[in-house]
Formats: sequence, structure tokens, C-alpha cells
Amino acid sequence: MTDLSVQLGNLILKNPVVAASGPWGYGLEYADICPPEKLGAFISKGLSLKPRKGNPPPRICETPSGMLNAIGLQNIGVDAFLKEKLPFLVERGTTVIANFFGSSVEEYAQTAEILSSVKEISALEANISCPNVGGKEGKFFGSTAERAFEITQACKKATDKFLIVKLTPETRDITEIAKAVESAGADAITLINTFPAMAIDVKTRKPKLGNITGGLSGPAIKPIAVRMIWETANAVNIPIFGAGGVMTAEDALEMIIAGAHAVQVGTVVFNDPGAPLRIIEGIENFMVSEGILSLKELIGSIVIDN
Amino acid sequence: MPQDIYFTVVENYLIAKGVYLIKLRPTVMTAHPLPGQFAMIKIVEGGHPILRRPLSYSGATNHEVQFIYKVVGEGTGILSQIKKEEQLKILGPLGKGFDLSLTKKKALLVGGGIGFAPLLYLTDVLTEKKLQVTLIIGAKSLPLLPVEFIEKRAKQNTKIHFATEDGSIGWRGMASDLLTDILTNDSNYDVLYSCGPMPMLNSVAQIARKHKIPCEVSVEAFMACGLGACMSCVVRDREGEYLQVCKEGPVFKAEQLFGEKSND
Repeated sequence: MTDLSVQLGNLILKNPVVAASGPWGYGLEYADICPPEKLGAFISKGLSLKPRKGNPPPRICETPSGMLNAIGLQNIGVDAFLKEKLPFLVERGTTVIANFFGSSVEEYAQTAEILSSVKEISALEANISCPNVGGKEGKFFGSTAERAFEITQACKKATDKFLIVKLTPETRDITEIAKAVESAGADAITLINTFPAMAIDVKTRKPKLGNITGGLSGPAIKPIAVRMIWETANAVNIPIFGAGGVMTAEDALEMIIAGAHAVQVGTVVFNDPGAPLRIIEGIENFMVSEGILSLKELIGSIVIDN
Repeated sequence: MPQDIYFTVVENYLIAKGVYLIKLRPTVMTAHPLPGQFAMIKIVEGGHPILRRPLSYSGATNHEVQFIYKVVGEGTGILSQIKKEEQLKILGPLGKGFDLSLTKKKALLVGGGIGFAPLLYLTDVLTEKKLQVTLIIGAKSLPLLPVEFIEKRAKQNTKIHFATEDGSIGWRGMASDLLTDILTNDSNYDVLYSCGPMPMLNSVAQIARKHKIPCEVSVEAFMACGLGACMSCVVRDREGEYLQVCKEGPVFKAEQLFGEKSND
């Protein structure tokens, strides 16, 4: 029997394919087409202390091998999520991970604390790719080791739950940030969030996004993600969630072999809502044909000839 | 409940300059769409381009669905080259369609540019119920209008008026000007349904308000999920709040989006 389960500390996933925060909303709309309980875990849309309206449209545009998004972290707020959305997911037997963010270190801690008291939430994922409000340097909270450490530490103080920190690729040295959040107590790291990018409509000469810049996701960023996963796996001991352009089982396996314990899928669901389940099946088929009994054998199994 | 299933292409051909009609039949039983609803069409087998394309149904029977679309970029360009018997995955039906109950006897439909597409399906359904339809269709110029196609398609109980900005056919001017003219002679309509560019919808909304005729508009937006999860496709309402076009629309009450002022 092939074992696709993944253990990360006290967090157990039934398989290594996880719904990434954002594209899936709170899981309800996709539930019939891609049941969230069939995935290793479901990560909610990023939650903030108070509801957020989001950015002016247009919020997305397609780019070669991917897309830009500047949704603006629109969400109903942590309280409304717990009351209105979480019960549906729990009822279906979903492994729920709550993604959250803030505009200050205090807000991160407060939000983490609120989510902490909810036993139906299996883990928390802190999105530190938010604008670095009040910080001295670095575009995002996750751009410098100092800020990344500060936020992780504040979140860790506020919660007993398994804490994943989602890093932005917008930084000089991803391993520096990864080591900082590890020493601050993070239980796992997600690599990577979207890459800041932009597109211009040459006829109107206007930016294609209402927010001017947005995050690049999709196959275009996968090689960057794979590189960062590999570099970070060699630099830290905590497990890694790979994210960034996973479309197929091969993409997922690439990240796992590079050092990821599990992968998150987001953009692919727009192209094909059936893809996540096919990715799980594809990983299993690969393991069967390669005679691999447990996913553990594949994690970080990259072969480097000296 | 929207389903994501394979459809087989029955026909895909040019009906006016840059305007195509694609007819498809489902490979399994599927929900029947309502006028004003749309579908997310997967235009390639793989992942490039990555996003599906949202198109309003321009017709549906028990065996077939139909989309009329304009080639505006890469995705629609690819769609226009798809041949008979090829298969496309389609997620639908999606969104809120037109409120048919607003039509008691007479409906006025105003389409601008490619906006006439969902209005053709709406015309089919209203005339099938023996209701009267007046259809105003505006475009920049005659080559862009599938005139014979529309005239053949519309059955009895339908009056068709064309408007072109260059006067190459029908009324010379905007569809909204022709609308004003028609309402001056007879404003006894139960409802106004409209689809087209936002400035046109704004004009139509103001005109409807002036004549106190209930008005619904169908808008478009760039979309990713198409079913209300990702929050990409918002449109601003008159208060400055954001509404999801795929879930709370694409059909809205005109006064939800357009206030008294005409500059939005």
C-alpha cells in the first residue's frame, strides 16, 4: 500500500497536495467540483482582524505562463470566517489551515491569538508578504530577516498551534529569511508567495492592474520556487511547503525531491478544477511505478553528483 | 450547480468581422443555462494560456449550447481556430441571469458591440413565452454586425433596430440615442435589459430611470475562477463597494451600478 501521508511535527496530512491560500476563497464554491476534504489540507483565504475591501479592479491579468493578481487581500475578517465559513469545512472533514496577516506586528499577534482558540483549525499560516508598514527597510515584512523574525516571534508567542510562515521571494537571500523565522520558532515554511510584477496595456498606456503592481503566479515562477526550496532545505531543519506554479504531479514531485514535504496548489485550479485530485493520483502512480512505498523516501531525495 | 464537463464542437464559424459563433453539444447530461448566465471555457487542453475565458450563452436548447464571441486577444483567437469534433471543457452555467419575470408583455433589449450575444438568447426565451421583444443593436459599423444572422434568428414578436456610429446601416449614432428616440414614440415597456460597454450601460440606465422603466444590465470582467471564490472579477457599485461579477452578476439592476450622475 502506497502511503501518501505526510507528518510535519504534530500536523498530519493525508496527502501532500494542499489548497493554497487565495484562489479557493473559503472553500465553499469549489466544494462540489474539488472537495476540500480530499486534499491534504485546505488553507483559507488570508484573514485579517477587520474585514478588508480589497483593491480597485482590474484585479487580475494573464501573463505568459501565469497571471498577475492584486486582489488586495479582500476578506470577511477573522470573526466572520470562524462563524460563517469554518463550520462548512469542518462538517466535511477538511483539514483546515487558517492563513492570516496584519498591517503591524501587533495585528499579526492578535489575529493569531483569535485563531488559536479554535480547536477545529489544525494549523496557522502567517502571510508575511504584506507591505512593511512602519519598518525601516524592506518592501515587505518578509523582505528582511529582522522583520520576519519579529513577526514570527510575536505570532509564536500568541499561539500553541503549528505555525507555518509563508515567505515572499522578494528578498536578497531567501535562506537568510528562512533561518530567521526558524530561529523565531516557526514550525514550517511555505516557499513561495507570488513575485511582485507588472503589466502595461500598450494601447491605453495604462497599467493592466488597478493597483498598478501585483503578484505573479503560475508556471512562470515554478523554477524560482524550486530553487528557493532546494536552497532553503539545505539551510533549515523545519519542513517546507512548496508553492508556485504547480500544475501537474511532475511539478509537485520536483518540489518534493528538492526538499518540500508537501505542495500547495492555487493558480492551477482556475485552469482545471480537477487538477488537484489528478496531481494526488499522479504522485501515487509515480510511487507505485518507482516502487516507493512511502512519500518520506522522496522528500529531499535530489541527487547531486559531486 | 455548475459542472465542469467536456463539450464537442458542432460548428465554429465567422458571422461578422471578427465575430464568431460556436455551437457545442455536451458529452454528458448537464444543467440548462438561463439567459444572462455564462460559462468558463477552457480554450486549450493544457495550461497555456492558463486562464479560461468567460462567455455568455447566446443560445441553448436541450442538445446544444451556443456562444457568440469577438476575437479580442490570445484566448478568443485560439477559440476561433477550434474545429468541429474537437472537445472543450466548459464550467457552467454560472452567474445570475436576467430576471424574466420583469417582462409582463413587452421588453426592450439594448445591445452594444458584442453585447448583443446574451440578448439573442434572452430574445429566444421571451418570444417563446409569446412576449413581445424590441431589440436595439448598436455597433461602430456594418461589417461588425451579423445582420442577416440576427434577422433570421429572431422569430415573430420581435422588432429589430440597428444603430451604427457611421450610419452604414440603420440609425446613425449610438444605440442609446436610438433608444431615446424609440422611447419618445412609445415608452410602454415593462423592462429594459442591456449588455454592452460600460459607458453605454450608464447611458441606458439614465434613460431607463428618466422613463421609470426597470432596467437590468449585464457586465463583463476579467475572471479567474468564475464561481465566486477568488474575488478577482469585482465591479464597483454606485456606493463604491465591490460586487463579484461572476456571482452577484453578471446581470445587475442598473441602479446598483449606476447612480444619478452619469460620470462613472
